[in-house]
Amino acid sequence: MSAWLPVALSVLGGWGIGRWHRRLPGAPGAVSGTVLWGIALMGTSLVVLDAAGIRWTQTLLALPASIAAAAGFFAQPTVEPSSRRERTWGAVAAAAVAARALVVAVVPSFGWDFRYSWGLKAKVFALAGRHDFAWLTRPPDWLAHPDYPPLWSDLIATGVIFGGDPGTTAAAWQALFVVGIAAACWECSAPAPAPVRALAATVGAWIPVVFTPTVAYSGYAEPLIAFGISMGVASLPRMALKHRGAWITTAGACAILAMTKNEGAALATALAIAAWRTSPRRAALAVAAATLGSVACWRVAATLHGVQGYVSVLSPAWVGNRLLHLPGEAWSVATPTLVALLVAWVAALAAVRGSDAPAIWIVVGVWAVALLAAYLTSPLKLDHMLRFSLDRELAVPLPIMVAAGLRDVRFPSAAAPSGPDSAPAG
Amino acid sequence: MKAFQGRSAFLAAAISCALGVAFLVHPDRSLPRVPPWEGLIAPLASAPLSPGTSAALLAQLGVSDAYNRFLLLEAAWRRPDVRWTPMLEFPLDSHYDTVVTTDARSEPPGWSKTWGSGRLRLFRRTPR
Repeated sequence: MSAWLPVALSVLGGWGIGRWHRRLPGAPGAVSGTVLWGIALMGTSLVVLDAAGIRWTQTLLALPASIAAAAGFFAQPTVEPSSRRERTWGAVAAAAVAARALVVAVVPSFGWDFRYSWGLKAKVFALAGRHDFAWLTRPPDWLAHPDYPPLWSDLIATGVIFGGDPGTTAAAWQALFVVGIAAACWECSAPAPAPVRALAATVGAWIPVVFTPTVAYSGYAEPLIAFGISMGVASLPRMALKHRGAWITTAGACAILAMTKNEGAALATALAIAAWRTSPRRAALAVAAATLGSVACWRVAATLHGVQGYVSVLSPAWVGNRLLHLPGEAWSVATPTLVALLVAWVAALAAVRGSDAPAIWIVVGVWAVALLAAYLTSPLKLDHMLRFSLDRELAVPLPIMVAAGLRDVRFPSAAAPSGPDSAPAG
Repeated sequence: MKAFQGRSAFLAAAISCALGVAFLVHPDRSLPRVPPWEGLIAPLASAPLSPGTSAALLAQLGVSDAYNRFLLLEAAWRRPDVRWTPMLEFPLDSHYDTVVTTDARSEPPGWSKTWGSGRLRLFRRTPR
């Protein structure tokens, strides 16, 4: 149970901040906002305490969340009206989401990368009560990825600080991410009819591959970046409408992405570029600042302490050779799952249209280029990388791409929607 | 065109949901859930190693480098309070005075066994 305490505290704190946030136009809904700010609050608390040289303790982690929750009672958030039909289909979606969250929550994480990278660092950080740079500088093995941004390990460490087990804590957090991804997809698919939005939320909760209980993926960081990109993409259309609450959401999502993983930093960059092309300059600058600030925050700290990781190989001969072998290697590791994922990607992209299309295409394009660059410049064996990462990397943005594709679906009887069903969420 | 795009959206949603459920029922990875080296390293939890100790884990003879890497990582997972370093042999002249082995090798002069469990052995440098 102790593993669940920091998650519960985050939910409380996120609820409080989310209520204040929802006083602004374009803010996320109550559920996704709670998850977003809960994660951001817990992550920020850990970083600030570490920067101040204060050891992480249960009390110091509970304090900010308690204050935020208490402050939330004094906020008067804007409440969007919802129809009876929307509430009914919302309940249907909630049942599908709850089933998935339960399945995720009851299986403690056990993947090998979880055990020897994310979870191991969480144990080390919890023991030290801070980011243990001495350990990161000399890890037992580079498989621990000491240079990776620390947010996912930090969140797992909170459960260890409260006396829980890393695997149980990771499962508890990931159940929260399930809810967050589904809520972001529900919001992103507005103004589609309620049954379509319920489908979008279900797709979000049942995102393939990344929550799979296998050694290859259990407890990895992809669910957190899937949540981050889902929140960011869901907010982009509202950013384009100059809603202040939306760019704050996207900036928060970018900070979470950039502090989770290098791939997350690539997705945050994609969001920043999409915001630059589709939103007011000041809002886009705020998103870019959140991305750059978060990347720089960790990179500067890691560099100052001498933390190193895998070094990309940038020689033209290496890159050219990898590029030449990429199609063959990809074919050799292709599975029915991978093919189905690619079909889903193509179908989702074909479905995106209207004013949302440029932003989605930019995000997907930048993501694809970043993945390609990673595969071509990595010192690791290409077939190994493709076999153990391509499907999960493809799965990360899939739910929000599907939700964006479902936005413009209309049933014949609802061709000209009016009333609360047609109002954008948030 | 609009109908095509709507169908594309539903197709993507259907594939995504189907894969989500299918992966739950039949994950397409066959790696063992419990690492094969877990049992070998598990007794380390009760080894008399003080927090902050620098210890060397000697590579097990006759197994691959990859297997030895995982042994080391498992030792770190089991005892994250210890600073682990991989080594091939007992260190001759080093500040390391604590060594853990996972195979039945004999210690060189100047070292003595202080603890053992299963195939795990803990050696310390004998005071001169």
